Amino acid sequence: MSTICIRGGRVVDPEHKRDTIGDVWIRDGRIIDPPAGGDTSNVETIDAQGCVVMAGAIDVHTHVVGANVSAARLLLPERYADVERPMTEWTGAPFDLFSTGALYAGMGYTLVVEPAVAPSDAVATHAELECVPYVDRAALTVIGNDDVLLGMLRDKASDATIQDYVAWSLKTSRAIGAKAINPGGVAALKENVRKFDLDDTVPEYGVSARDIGNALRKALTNLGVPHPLHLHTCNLGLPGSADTAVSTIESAEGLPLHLAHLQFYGYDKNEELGMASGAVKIAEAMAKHPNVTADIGQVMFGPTVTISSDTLTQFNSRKRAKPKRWIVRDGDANGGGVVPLTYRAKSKINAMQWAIGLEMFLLIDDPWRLFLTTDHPNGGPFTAYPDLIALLMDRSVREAAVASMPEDAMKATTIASLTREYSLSEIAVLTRSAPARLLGTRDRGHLGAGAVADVAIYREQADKAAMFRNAELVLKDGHTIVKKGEPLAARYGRTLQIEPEYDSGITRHVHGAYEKRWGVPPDTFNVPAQLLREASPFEVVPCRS
Amino acid sequence: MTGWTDGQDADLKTAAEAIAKLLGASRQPLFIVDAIDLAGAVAAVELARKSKAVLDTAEPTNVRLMQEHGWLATVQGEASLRSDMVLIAGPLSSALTNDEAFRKLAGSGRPVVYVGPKGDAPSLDNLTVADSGNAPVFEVLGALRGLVAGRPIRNAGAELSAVAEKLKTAKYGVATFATGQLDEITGVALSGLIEELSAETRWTLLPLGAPPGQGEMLRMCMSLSRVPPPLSYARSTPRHDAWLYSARTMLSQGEADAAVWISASERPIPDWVTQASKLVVISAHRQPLRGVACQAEIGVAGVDYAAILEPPELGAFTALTPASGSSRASAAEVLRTITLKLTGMEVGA
Repeated sequence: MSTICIRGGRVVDPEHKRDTIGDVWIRDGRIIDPPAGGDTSNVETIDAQGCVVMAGAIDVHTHVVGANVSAARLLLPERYADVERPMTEWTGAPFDLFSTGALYAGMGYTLVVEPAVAPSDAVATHAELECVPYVDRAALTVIGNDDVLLGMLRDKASDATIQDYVAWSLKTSRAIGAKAINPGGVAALKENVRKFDLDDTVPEYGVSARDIGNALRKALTNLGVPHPLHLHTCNLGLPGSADTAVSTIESAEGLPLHLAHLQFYGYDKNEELGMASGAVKIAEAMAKHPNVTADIGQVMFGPTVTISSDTLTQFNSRKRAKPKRWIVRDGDANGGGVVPLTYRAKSKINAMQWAIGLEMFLLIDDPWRLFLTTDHPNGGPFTAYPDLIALLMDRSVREAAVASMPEDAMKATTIASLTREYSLSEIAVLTRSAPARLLGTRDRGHLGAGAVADVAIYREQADKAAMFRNAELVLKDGHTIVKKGEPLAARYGRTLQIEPEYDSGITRHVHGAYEKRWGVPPDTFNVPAQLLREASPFEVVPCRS
Repeated sequence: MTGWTDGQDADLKTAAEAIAKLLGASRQPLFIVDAIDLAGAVAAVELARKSKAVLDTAEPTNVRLMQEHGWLATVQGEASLRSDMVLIAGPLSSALTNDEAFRKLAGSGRPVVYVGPKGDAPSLDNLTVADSGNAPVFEVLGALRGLVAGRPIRNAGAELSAVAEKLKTAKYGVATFATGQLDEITGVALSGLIEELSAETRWTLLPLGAPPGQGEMLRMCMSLSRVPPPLSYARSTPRHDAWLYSARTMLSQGEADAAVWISASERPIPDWVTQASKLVVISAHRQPLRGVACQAEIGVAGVDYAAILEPPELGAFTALTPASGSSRASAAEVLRTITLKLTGMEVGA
């Protein structure tokens, strides 16, 4: 591959505190320092004058593959019934895999993380991920409602045993991290428990969500897994969930913790309106606990479908489905629920949800601990990110939107009083630098020498939504994959995973549970190195030593 | 690799060319997918897309039922470990009663309630029959739903009321039925009953008796095309229509002028498929089949080649590697070869 010079653009690279006009050099798929001596022979030059140059963006939480996403496609075929609508247009039900990769790439994304892979479905889920073109992929394995872990906690297994089991789960499902989804609550639903709080216990095992979270945080920290526990805590979507979020933040006791789709926990109780914003108390808790990070899960208006392995929440919300159909499936551990709905700007509750997400973005000071997500498709599609960026960067866009919402709903939040506007550099932190740090992918999310040459170039313009909707040019591993928002010929990237070490004797602990449930040995659901193609898609991200 | 065109031996290249030519000339090709692995399913979707074909599974699925109503479901492992009562909604089928998971669930001594004609009731211990007599099963399920909800149901006898009370005592009930065998109204009645019971306790659905290799096609079809089978690739956007694109409808109405049977197994091809005016077979059969225009041999997924499958007895996906090597090609290899030939024809045209 020849040397490439992206010349004369506004280079925004917060990892290196850079926001200047300059050049970015690439050779053999990596960013390099400018060649010494000024030799420009055999250099392909990309003119980036008038453009912003950033590292490829990273989405840390987007439901794009897996059995639950497939169930959503099955449930809502009529949402694709307008035959002449393009495949890429959001209709309120999931995109196909090809469109997923193409749409992400068109916006300058080069890595996406599927955050909910059931270990027993990991083989099929990774096969699907392999079919997502243009971008690199990664997955979080779901743990915390499974018989093995709950049994270990009930039986007071040692920290080392739990650590080995977590490592075994991560490695055999080829994940980049672990996620707990309503830990304990999903297992309790199987015993007909309809409400589950942080200190409630699973009847069969006598362990609480707090116990499970503590054990997992400790195990992941000791294993050196870069990505902290990715936690979807209890009481999602309920009035009063802001208190649960604060309690969960405090429960981390200084250990690293990542809270998923924090907006869905931003609700205080309010008799008149049904709920009110709890964003201020959550922002205060976040400020006091620098060990905690969060993706927001912003609500954007329009039809969508909620897809979650939190079967307790989906079971309780199924009767709100529009259209009146849903799927809630108990799984071997978490299972999944699919409930379609539409977020309407005229709905007081939906308008508050929208405002609360924005409040969190604007009230939590440290962008290095925040991540720009809609919890696709739960809060809205990932294709709404450019509109969300405009709301964050341009106060006038936000004020115009607030003015069109129900007034009493807006008054139940602080959104109208917030004047902060994100800078380009802060947007780059939210979407590039911070996600790369969170995942431990040190050669991504920045434009320093040695980084993977994933680069997004945007034509700078006042309309930030337009600017970020269609990247002028996107390079993946130094190859141009997008021009003026349009994907070029498909290239298939890599799936990032970690390989934590564990004592192989742990399979003896797992064996009994697998034999009892499925009648098979523990390696039955191991993800092989090769899936659909001859070459392995996997690349290992190192654990911390 | 082996193939046959008009009953004559052909190497894979020749067979693939003949199949591509036939697809290229077809006004409306129809793909009927029987047993397949995930990589084969991906390749089948790609070939169907390039040929602007209609694609359906060989056996009926529960897709239509799941699109009709709320669907509270469970998985085999959870059902076998947790279930304390089983409800079986008729009609029974041999595919259901021979299913290992069904035998494990219903034949383990748990209380079983059968809703259907008494004469068709399965032979099981601890069985209660809610006899539908000559009435349709959905009427009994509907009456049970009303009784569970405490509504007065005309003509509901003491026996049916007792069944309703019994169902309410389950802590984790599992209602099973034969995959693809319930009509929509019975499916709605059953899921409505489960929903009603779930107001107070836990009840879930677990269809069983699905043929091997269908879940794989369903999964990849939805992932790659956004909609489940049956679907058409005739326009720019794949389109799902359970009636219009049903393989049986397409063949019986003469809507398809060429049918492609794809199966990484040696399962006999059903009569309704062999009646197609032009039939292409891509299967694990080792001999040429009568009445087939073009045939390409592939191996058995997971036996002849490494494959990702969802074995019915497991109810989850696993990667299977054969114990010994085989020279037989995978479904994906053969389908991709045909796609390349077809694409070449398009480029040449």
